[in-house]
Amino acid sequence: MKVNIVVLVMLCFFGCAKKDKSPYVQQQDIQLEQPRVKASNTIIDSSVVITSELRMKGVEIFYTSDGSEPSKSSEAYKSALVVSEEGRYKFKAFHPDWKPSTVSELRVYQKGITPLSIDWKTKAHSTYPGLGDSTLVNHQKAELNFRDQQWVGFDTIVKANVHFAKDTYIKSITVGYLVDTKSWIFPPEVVSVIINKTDTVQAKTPKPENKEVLALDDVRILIEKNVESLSVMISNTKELPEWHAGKGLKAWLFMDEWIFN
Amino acid sequence: MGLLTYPMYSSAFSFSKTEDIIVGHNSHKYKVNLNWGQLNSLKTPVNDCHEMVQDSKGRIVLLTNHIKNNVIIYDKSGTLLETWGTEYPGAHGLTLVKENGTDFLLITDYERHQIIKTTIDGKVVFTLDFPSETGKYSTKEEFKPTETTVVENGDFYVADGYGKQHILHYNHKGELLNIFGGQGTGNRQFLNAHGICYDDRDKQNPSLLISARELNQLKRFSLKGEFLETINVPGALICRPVIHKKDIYFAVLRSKNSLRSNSGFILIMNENNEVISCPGATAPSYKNDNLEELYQTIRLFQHPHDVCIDDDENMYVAQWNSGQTYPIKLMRV
Repeated sequence: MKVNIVVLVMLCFFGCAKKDKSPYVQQQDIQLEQPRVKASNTIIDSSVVITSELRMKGVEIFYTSDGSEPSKSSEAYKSALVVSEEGRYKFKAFHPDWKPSTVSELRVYQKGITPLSIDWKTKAHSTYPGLGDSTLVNHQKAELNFRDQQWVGFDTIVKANVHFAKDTYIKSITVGYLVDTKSWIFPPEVVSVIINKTDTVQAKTPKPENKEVLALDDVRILIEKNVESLSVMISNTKELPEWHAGKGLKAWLFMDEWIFN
Repeated sequence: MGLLTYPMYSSAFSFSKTEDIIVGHNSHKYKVNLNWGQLNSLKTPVNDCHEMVQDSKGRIVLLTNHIKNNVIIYDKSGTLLETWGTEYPGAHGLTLVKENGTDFLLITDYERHQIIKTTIDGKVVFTLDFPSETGKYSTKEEFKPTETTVVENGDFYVADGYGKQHILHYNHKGELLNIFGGQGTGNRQFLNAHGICYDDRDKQNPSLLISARELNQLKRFSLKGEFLETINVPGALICRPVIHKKDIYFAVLRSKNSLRSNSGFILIMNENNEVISCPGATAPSYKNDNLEELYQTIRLFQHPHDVCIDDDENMYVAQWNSGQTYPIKLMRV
């Protein structure tokens, strides 16, 4: 009986304590920052090295390479990854005291075919010419900062004819672009490609939904043909959306690479 | 004991499972109170919470650029005591000046391009305009002072952190004595000379600590304006240095290489100017005497802009561009 009374008093103590919510931040109230991810290169010649970190005691990072959301049952990140396969690598941090982080994503690409020549029908903006006419096929991706010289910036439609050696089989073209809504940089509206002056293929890209997006993205168009020429036409966003400070005005289009595989 | 599996016990147990979280490292660790100082935003609104000081009565004085109430005075528990000020649209720097036992405030206003000295209850004592006599400024708009600091003889210094990056030295009457600094990356220069403070921890050799926020550096100058040293804080966009006892505290606006802008945290240095604790960020570590890059690890703070340490060693964090939120209180543990 005596024991029971002690237990009841204890239960009351915990019960009362529960009503008095602590004024302080509790476990799982606040989210971890997303892990940092770096790659030696994002275009694979033979292999690239990917590292990830969130330097904090007790943090565990899990990752996937197929584009799926990492969970604690995914592969645990222990040391640098040597990667020779194309993929969408996603990293997520977990900790007993803090909410799991958002996902950090890194895309790595197989190195593509170098075209014989590119014949530009429209010009990049004079402020953002990149490193010249071949910047988009130099097998170099850009960083998130739009001032990176691997970016080529357009404020009009992009038109170019790309020529290849006879009977070059091309499976796809991947157009890498930047989304930086605060800097008025939006995805392309439409990408269309005329193959050997006859067949046209087209793709659209998703519009950014959040007000603040800073991300690298790409759109891939299947070609699956022997190709001598591709006429590429890419239109920038004609009108910034309602929620944007520049609503109704045109957006910038920043691309870093066209990859022909 | 069967009672251990009793449902109420398990519920009590689940309570004890959520614990007060501790942030920070080594000697400087804190619990976080996000509810401190919350007010009715219709009656007592804030825009950016720029800076905070504790006055001689122990009250916590907050400066915001909301012209309904530029100054909000709390007690340490976060209860509102009074407000004043409607004429400081660019209210940014707030420094407490003690003169013969009386408190005054020095406010910098980067939109008025002025420094204003007031009594603690808001009466204007004097107003200083841009220093045209130096020949360094052609219009008042070029002068955007961010911070002041006062030394023992009453002289004070002004950092033109959003303007041309000069440091101005005035006597207590507001007469200009010296100008140094200026924009650039050299030892004597600044990119965003955001904060300045008088460092008299070494009584024999008092000096000035000035942040060069964009450079992630803290620079030490003599009171005459001679460059003495640079202390690197890689990754940390430090706002003003705040000396409390032997330590220096900083709000860090954001992490240099983070993908998101609202990636700020708090940084604390010991008496040897070594970083010892970073609430909200990576634990400080040195390799061959070089501090490793610091960055935000938890999304606790957005854009911390100033810290105030009270006489109980607790800390108040004022934030810029953080959704008109009131300050956060950190309780030292």
